[in-house]
Amino acid sequence: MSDEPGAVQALPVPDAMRRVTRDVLATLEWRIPSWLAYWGAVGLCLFVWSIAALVWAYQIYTGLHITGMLHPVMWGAYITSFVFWIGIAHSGTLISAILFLLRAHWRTSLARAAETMTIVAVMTAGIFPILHLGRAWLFYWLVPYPNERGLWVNFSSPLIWDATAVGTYFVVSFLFWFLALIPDFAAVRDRSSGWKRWIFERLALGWTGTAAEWRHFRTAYTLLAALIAVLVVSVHSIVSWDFAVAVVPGWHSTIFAPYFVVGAIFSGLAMLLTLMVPGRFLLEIRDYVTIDHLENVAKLLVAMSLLLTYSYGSEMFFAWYRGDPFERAQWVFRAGGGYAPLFWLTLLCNSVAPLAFLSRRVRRNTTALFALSIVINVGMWSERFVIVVASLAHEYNAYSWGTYRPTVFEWTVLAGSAAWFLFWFLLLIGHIPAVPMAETKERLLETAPLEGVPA
Amino acid sequence: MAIFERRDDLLAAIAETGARRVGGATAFAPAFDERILRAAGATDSPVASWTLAGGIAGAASALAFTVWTIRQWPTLVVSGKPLIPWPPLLIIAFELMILTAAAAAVIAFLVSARRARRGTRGAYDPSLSDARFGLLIPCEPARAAEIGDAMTMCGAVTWRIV
Amino acid sequence: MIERRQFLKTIGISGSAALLEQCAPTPSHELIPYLVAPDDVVPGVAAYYATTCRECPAGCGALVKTMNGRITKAEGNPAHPIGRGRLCVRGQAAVQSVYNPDRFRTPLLRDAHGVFQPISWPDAESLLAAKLGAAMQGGADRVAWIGELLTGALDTLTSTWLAALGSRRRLFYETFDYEPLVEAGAIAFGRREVPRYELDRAGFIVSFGAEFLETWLSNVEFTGAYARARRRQLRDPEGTLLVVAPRLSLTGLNADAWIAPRPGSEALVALAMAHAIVADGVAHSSAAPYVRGIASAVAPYAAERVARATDVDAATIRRAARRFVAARPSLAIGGGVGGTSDRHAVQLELACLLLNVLAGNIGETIGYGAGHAVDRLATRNDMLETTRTMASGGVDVLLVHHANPVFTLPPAVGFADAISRVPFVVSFAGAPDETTDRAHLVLPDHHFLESWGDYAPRAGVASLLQPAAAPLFDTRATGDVLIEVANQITADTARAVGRTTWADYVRSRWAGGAAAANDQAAAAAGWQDALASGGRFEAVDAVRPALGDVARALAIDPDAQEPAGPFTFIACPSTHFYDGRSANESWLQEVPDPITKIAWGDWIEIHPDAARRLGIVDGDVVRVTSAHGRIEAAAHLYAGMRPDVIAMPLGYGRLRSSRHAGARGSNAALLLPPTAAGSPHAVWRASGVRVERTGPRRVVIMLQAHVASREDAAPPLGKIVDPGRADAREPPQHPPVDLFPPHEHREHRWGMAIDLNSCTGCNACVAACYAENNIAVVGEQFCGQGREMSWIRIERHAHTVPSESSLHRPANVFLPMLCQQCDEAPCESVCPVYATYHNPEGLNAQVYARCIGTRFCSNNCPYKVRRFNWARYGWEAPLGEQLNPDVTVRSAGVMEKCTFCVQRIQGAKRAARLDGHLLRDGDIVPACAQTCPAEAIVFGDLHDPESRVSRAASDPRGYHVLEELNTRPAITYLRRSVPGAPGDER
Repeated sequence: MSDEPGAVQALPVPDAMRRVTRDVLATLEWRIPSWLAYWGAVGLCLFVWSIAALVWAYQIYTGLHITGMLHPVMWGAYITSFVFWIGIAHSGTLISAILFLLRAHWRTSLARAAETMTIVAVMTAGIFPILHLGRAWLFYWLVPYPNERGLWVNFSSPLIWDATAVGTYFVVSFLFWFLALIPDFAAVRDRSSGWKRWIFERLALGWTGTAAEWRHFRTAYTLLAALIAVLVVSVHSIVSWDFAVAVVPGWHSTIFAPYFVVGAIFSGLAMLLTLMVPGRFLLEIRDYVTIDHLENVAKLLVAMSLLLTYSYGSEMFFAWYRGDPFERAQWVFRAGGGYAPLFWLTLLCNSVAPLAFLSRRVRRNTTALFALSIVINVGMWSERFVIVVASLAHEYNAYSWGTYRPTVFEWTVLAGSAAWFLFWFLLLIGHIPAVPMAETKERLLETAPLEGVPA
Repeated sequence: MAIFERRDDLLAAIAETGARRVGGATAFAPAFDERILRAAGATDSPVASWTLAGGIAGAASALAFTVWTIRQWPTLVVSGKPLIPWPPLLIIAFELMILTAAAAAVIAFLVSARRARRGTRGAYDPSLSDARFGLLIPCEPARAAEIGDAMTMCGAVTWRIV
Repeated sequence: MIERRQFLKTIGISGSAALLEQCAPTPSHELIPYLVAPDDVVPGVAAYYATTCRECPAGCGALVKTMNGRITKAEGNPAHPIGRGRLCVRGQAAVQSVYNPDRFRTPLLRDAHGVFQPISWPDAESLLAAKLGAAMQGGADRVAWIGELLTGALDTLTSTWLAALGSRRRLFYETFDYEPLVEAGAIAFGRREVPRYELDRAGFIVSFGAEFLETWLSNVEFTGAYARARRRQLRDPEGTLLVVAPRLSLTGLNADAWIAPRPGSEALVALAMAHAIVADGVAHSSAAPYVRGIASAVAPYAAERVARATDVDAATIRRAARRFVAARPSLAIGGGVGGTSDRHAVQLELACLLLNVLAGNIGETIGYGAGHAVDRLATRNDMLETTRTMASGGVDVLLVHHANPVFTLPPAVGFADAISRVPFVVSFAGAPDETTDRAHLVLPDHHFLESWGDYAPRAGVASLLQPAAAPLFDTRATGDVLIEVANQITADTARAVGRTTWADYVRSRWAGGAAAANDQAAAAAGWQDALASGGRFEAVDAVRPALGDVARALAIDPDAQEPAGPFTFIACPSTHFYDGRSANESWLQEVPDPITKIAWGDWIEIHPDAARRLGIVDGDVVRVTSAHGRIEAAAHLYAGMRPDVIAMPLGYGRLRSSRHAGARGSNAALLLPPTAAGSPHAVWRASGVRVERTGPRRVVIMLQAHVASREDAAPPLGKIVDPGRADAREPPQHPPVDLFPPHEHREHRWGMAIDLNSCTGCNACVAACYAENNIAVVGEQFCGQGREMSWIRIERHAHTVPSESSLHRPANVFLPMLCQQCDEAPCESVCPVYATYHNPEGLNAQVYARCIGTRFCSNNCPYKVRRFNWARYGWEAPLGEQLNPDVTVRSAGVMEKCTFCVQRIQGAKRAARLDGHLLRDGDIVPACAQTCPAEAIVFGDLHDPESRVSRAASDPRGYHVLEELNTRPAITYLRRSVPGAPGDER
């Protein structure tokens, strides 16, 4: 297949639609050599996250002292990664829901991958709050379940807001993802046999595609999109309130909610590039996920990067303008203290590097896209690290300042989380239609000329 | 049951059935298409109202539940705030609203989709999920042949009696 | 103060205290029940025993709390004149030395291979008897006794016992003696004694390096007195204390003014002050008869003349002198250990006495007549003489009793070699140390909290020791051993001491001492009272001795400079380890040093300027070399001293590998000469030492990140105020704002007031908290990772107040930081599971069982007083025996914090209910407030407007730490008054 956009559009509609079905279904079939690459990757991920799981087991057994956390830096790499992965989870929905509502049709072929990424990212993020607990085995106390002691949770705690928001986000994005899949599952069902057919028959929930079904489908889909669009904003706002409602200098700031949402979308889009640039080769869907799609993502990235830079700026400005000596001290520390390198790295990665996307040549160069997406991921992680750790390390009381450094155990767990993320992403994307067939066809019909028949 | 290669033929066929005064035809399509839906008269869906109801129910129950749990321990003062602080409860309520609304939407879709499929058993053809369109026309056996021809006229690649 | 009921109980039980001897020693792993419970052991109810702390020669009265027959805590005895119900950090940690895992469990005899083997008591005693018998044949003085300071029964017993053995060689050895002071007394007033200092009556105190708040003479007594003086002098623009010393000890950091003369020239400063007083003719009338004599004696020491030698300008000296006489009664104290003991020590003491005479303080703030136990200490000369005798084989049997000369004497004395020449060395030590390492026979004595005995720190204070619990191990009272042995040697020796038990011996002595000795009933009653109150205390009238001729003794060359050499080395006593004896108590290792905030290790103090010159940065390993030895340790930059001075704490570098003390740091005494040049006295300085950087940085565990405020830090949290504005109530800069209606506390609102003007940063409260609340000791590694668990800590905040020529202003604030029990605590609302909440009495409660360890509460605590259990911390057996049954032991993964000793609050409430009276102010005393020697901490009910805490909280100096955060703390701090303090910073 060639890289020039929409090879299918050239064909007459029916053939085009058949072509779509054929190409997309092809992504479910794994043959040598891609089979090796695919299962090799999956296996490697499985191995890595099993190691991490062992580390976690040891941590539960021996206590959190194996981490680098200390008094006063009680949150470290774990919470940083939680925020990071939640952020990743945001672009998926952004692309699917918001762009859908905005009728930005280029989103179609990326939607499936993005949504899958969302779900998997939430699954990854969800682990960390439990992972970092002092008594992880009691994590279920965070759930308001009736118990003989008559104890309930404290709904004033941002952590409970967090649990609710993230939980909701996971369920809703899952429904959204699954709903969109139903017609495609039907298509797979009709083209497979044996146990595969058996499975997809159940997944398709008896879809036949009558006009009425399509009507209900579309209504539900649009409504979900609308709900999710709101959810996206609320979830990361709430995550940001974990920090913003605290009295810690460097956390206590009203700009956090929009600031975090922007950052989330930013990192999410970057991660989408990281996955899809190689992914479209692996899945052989370059004809659907074309360079134009990637370029559009890159354009979005520039916009987000500028928004982020603005947030940084206003945060610093108000730290100075507020005149609170502690807040000011915090920023002096960030820019000049032990964590200064990370601070400047963040600015470099998130505010400077993405400007390269202003040039069309960079935007259309897959290698550059991939490289920069990695840079941005790094930048966003270190941004969260600086926010979480540097603030805690340098609070009001000069007696208890401290320096936190993640230990090898923590790094292992982080690597494990990335592996866990990739593991599920590969498994899912490899076994579902990687591009929404129905919607692609819908687009074909929409653009097809009408041959003078009274409607 | 007639199978069409092209959407426009299907649209024509639907018009034809109208002309021949055979109602209750069911159109099949591999993808969403506003024209077909309009032609087939599939214009409204109960899903929206279900969703709304779900959302309201969710928000209400969330508020009720949180307040109730707090009332279990009327002495549990934290940070000098009143026992029932509204801002946090609103956040919880909001999230629960979204959750239940979404759930309601999906359930509503499943239910009404099932209802929509009623009476089309046996008519379905695998090609319908690929690139072809279908039209299921209920009629007394006597007229079957006649309508069949009409469909072929409209461009049906094939038709059969189910 | 202790609760009234418990005090009654002590009286109630005391009579039956003797029962403890009979009741079988409970093996440590069994708690209760006893087969036949002694009636003073009620499960779960504390019994208190009045006894005496013997950690140092001060002899503070102690009340020891026992639960189920186990010693759990030591507190001060309010009825006792010394300490007045308070204990210092070492006294608090004494209970840990009872459960010291390294204690000797049985008598030990060194076998042929030089390895200790257990031996039965009868065998050990008959062996000792045989050896002693043999020594007696050898002639007189073949037996030597070197032991801790003794008075009363054991003093009598040992002297008669040794006499019976034909030996007069008995030395009471204490590392820090007061020889120059005693000698000065003899020269000036013909009284060989340490006078009694009454700091609380002084309007102005000049200390020439005496660290009376840490280790000097009687630190608890003096701390209390000094605090009272400060409170009285609060509004005095010149402050209360002037310290004249080359280095600021903890006492120095608590001073209002500091003069830093060239080391060795302190005496000249004192003499110049005397000269100034005489010259200005402002001496007090009572000094009239002596003024002429003094004038001639101090003639050579005009302020201008000594300025060069002392490096202190004349104006400053005059100013100090004027102030000293103006503020009568004032007080001049001379000669601490780390401060100023050098070859002019006696002259310095004399000069101080002259100053006190001139200001008319004799008989006012400084009283002769009572004397002090330390008057009887062996002089350095005696030690040297005995050392020589031992080295020349003049001693057959050496008995060492609770002394560790091998470690504490400067190696230059050569005691270690000498002792190895003694054929038979017997030690009565309870735990292994450098001296027991050289002993042949170890006869472990009971811990002093398990023993009978008595000690009289000074005349009129006869203080009793009674066992608070049955001995933990197979130890035996030294008294019993001596009696038994004496009865075995010869008939004469047997007759000399008689056949009795140590307990009866003490008792009979006491009765003999009693007024109505002949009257048995009276004697018995006196004994009962003594057991209950901790001793017999009478006032002793001070005498006003006439001043003798001091001119001859004062021969110092006013222009003399100390021998050339880049640096003078000062070895300072350790606030926590004294001379190193308590270095094995993990609390004292883990609680950071009050000055440097360093834990679990030693350091060498270098002035920042000197360090810059030598290219040394904080933590660099440096080597200090003197004529007598060399030591290496990590450098710690300390601005509180002259740039030509190097300082290091004593008590580190214990060779003996006991758990915590052993192999930690290096021994400062290595650098010291046997005596001061040209004088027979001990000296804690070495002049002309070299300093060089030898190694890369070493990790120094410093628990306070920054002492001085830096530009990336905000102003210090411990605030100061100029005496002139001490009463000026500044309007709150941050009036409280509230979105919500305040929640009311129905019955009580517990609160605390801490007077920063009184707090000396002595750490006693910290140790008390460890003892009371079962706070885990996390050890060196975790401490280094900033995971210490202390619920209360003393923060040191340094302000900068401009110096006035040679007069510096230390301007240090020690800020005890504990949970502020905020009314609107940020920690509470962020906990997802209600593990912490605001209880109806205003406490910020922490429910350990509910905590799941999200640690958000700690992040959101601006005071950073919450502690997290990063790991499972244990208690090495038998240290666990000390745990307080009233307090939960926290598990790994949960957050913990101060709760104002909620167990004591509940206990007091219960007690009040049983007594059928309402809680009175002062019924509840948290551990920290209970022991604070400065009485800086007041706890009570803020609801009751009459309570002491309410009154203190409404003081004009009162402020809340970080009040702008609107957390509404229940703790009010009262600003420290610092002359010349700038206006409020924020």
